[in-house]
Amino acid sequence: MRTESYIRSAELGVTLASTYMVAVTMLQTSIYYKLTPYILMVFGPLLTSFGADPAFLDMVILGLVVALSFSFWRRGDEAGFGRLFSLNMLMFFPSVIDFSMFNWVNLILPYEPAPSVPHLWVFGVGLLLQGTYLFLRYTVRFRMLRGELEERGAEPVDVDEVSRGQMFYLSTLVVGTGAISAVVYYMVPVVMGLVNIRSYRIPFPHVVIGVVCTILIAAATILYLRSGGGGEILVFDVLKSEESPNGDSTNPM
Amino acid sequence: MITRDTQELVVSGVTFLVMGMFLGNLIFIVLGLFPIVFLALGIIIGQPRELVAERGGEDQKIWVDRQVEDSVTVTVRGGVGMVTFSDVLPDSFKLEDGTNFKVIWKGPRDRTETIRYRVTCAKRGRFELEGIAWEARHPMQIASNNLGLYPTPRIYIVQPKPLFVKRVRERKAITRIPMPMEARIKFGFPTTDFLEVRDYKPGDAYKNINWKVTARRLSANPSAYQVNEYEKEGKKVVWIFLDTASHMALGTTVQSTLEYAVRAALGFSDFYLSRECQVGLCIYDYDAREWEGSYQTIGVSPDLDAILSVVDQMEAEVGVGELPQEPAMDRPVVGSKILFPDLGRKQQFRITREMLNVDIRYGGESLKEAIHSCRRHIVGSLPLFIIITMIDASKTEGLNEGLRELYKYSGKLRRTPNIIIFNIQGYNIAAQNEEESMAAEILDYRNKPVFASLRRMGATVVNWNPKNRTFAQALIEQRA
Repeated sequence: MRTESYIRSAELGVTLASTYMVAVTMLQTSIYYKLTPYILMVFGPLLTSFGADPAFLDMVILGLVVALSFSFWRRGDEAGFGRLFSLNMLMFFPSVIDFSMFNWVNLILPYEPAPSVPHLWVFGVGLLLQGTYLFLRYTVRFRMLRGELEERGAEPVDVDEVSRGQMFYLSTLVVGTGAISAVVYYMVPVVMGLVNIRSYRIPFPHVVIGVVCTILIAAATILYLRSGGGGEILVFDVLKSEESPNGDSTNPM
Repeated sequence: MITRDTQELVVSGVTFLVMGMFLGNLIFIVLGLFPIVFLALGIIIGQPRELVAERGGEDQKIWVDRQVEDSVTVTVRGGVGMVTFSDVLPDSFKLEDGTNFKVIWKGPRDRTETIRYRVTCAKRGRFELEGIAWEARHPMQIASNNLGLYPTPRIYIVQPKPLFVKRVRERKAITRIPMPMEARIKFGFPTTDFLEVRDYKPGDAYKNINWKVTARRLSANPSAYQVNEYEKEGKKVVWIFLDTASHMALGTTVQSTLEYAVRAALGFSDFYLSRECQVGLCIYDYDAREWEGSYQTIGVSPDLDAILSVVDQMEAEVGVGELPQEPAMDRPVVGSKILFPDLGRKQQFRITREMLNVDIRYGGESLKEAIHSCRRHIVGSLPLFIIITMIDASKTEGLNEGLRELYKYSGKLRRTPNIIIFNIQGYNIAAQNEEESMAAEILDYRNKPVFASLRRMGATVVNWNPKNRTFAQALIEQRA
């Protein structure tokens, strides 16, 4: 299989898998159950006119979002995958909100979350969405890079090798990140229990501490990236080349 | 250095974290960590950091249009990512085989890669390859690219190929090329090259008397003895004036009018040096005449201090800081590009070496100025002058002035100086198709009155269209 086709196939796989999984999860949320009668009221006659049984609404929705996802994949650009991510997050939000400590929805309309999927399932789908987002974001660039390298005169074999290396690196990084995130998710209850034992006397609510921590994490990340990220190495190499006695070399002939 | 892409990921992660805080949702919080952990891992691994290159082969001295081979072995260390490296070649080098650019994927282990290539050196000059330019990219473009130049110096001296006239087989053709009319110094060892038959003078060796000619002449009229005169060794002088004005750039980088002019100059120098003549070279810029001499300026630059002194009295001094220094004159500071007449292989080497550096506007003086600069070597002798240029009917004044200057210094012997104007038809060189060739012919036709004018001044005009005539053919046809 050609490397570009392989990249596109991988993109298609993760695109359809993530959309399917998030759609299936959404169809099992409390909000969806609450909204189903209203949806049927609006779209029921339309479905009937097309000869579809309104009882298959779930299947219709599933088919629609997968088709939409496929169309985004066909576009194959960054904007298309951005829309795919938005669509997936839109479907993911009702399922994840069922596991919130604060029931913000209840402030608007009477709502008691009764999720029919476990939190680990939802978390797993969330990881899949994040992984898909990062995976597609970079595969687009890999394909662009292939074009750039070919224009610069690189051998097709070398370009394929680079693409394969990048795909392997990306897959490893995404899987590794997912594994770390999963470990963090599993460890949080344990750590939280330990922290609660020692921090129950702290007068500040955890929201305040959390916001401060979040800001600190973001600031630290940005500061670290600004100061590091290879800049020093760049300077070193340039200086090394400038200081080389190349210009002073005498002609041996 | 942080990239825009990285910022987007950080913002995305922070958005999830904040949302998780407000909803009290652990899933959102951990998902918010996902991009940040992803970035952190990417940064920890990093892109390749070090490249070491080693060049094979050696410095070379070659002729134009010859091929050279080279190889570069590169070792990449540290990090993971894509690395591109290239041996940056001069524009005039044409890649024939292999590649001078390579892209590799650097995995967790160090990687060594070798590139080999063969190039044709299509233009003369001294080319110094500085080193291997490389670029290491982070696979995710999280950090900015590492750029570097690993020094692996390599020098190629591409010598212009002289147009050897001696390859012409017809003897008649060779004799068409004029020799200098007169020896600069009468003393010197006579060669075996016959020059002329002349009247006997006291001091001539008896063995040089040509008895047959003497007898023939005496049978007709009373006459002096006739003596064979031979060329004196290495005392005849040829001056080659090479034009490097901007109009000589007509054509492509590799096949420009100047390139052919250089080859013609080398051909002439090789021809005359091999015949024991002293050859001098003077490189000038036809357009430099606009500056009107290297010793004086046309106008006197205004004395701004005197003019502005009145302004100083009217207004308080305002500090304007450091102002950039304006050049005092438009004329660039250039020296004469003259190789004074000498003979032998040493002079040939000097001329060839000088030709390596010749480029457009290399000469800093006009023809008139250049002749003025070497007047001390012209006065009192009657050398052969060869002016290699591209005649353009729209600007002939510089050439006419130059010719007048030649007459001024060499005409004191009351003999017409021997001047060849070797006109390289640049428009024909630049022509890429039939229509352009026709246009070039028309432009050359416009020069005909100029040729007539120059011939009236005593110069011999030799036209050369390198596209359809060899150098030797052009010389053969000069009087045809």
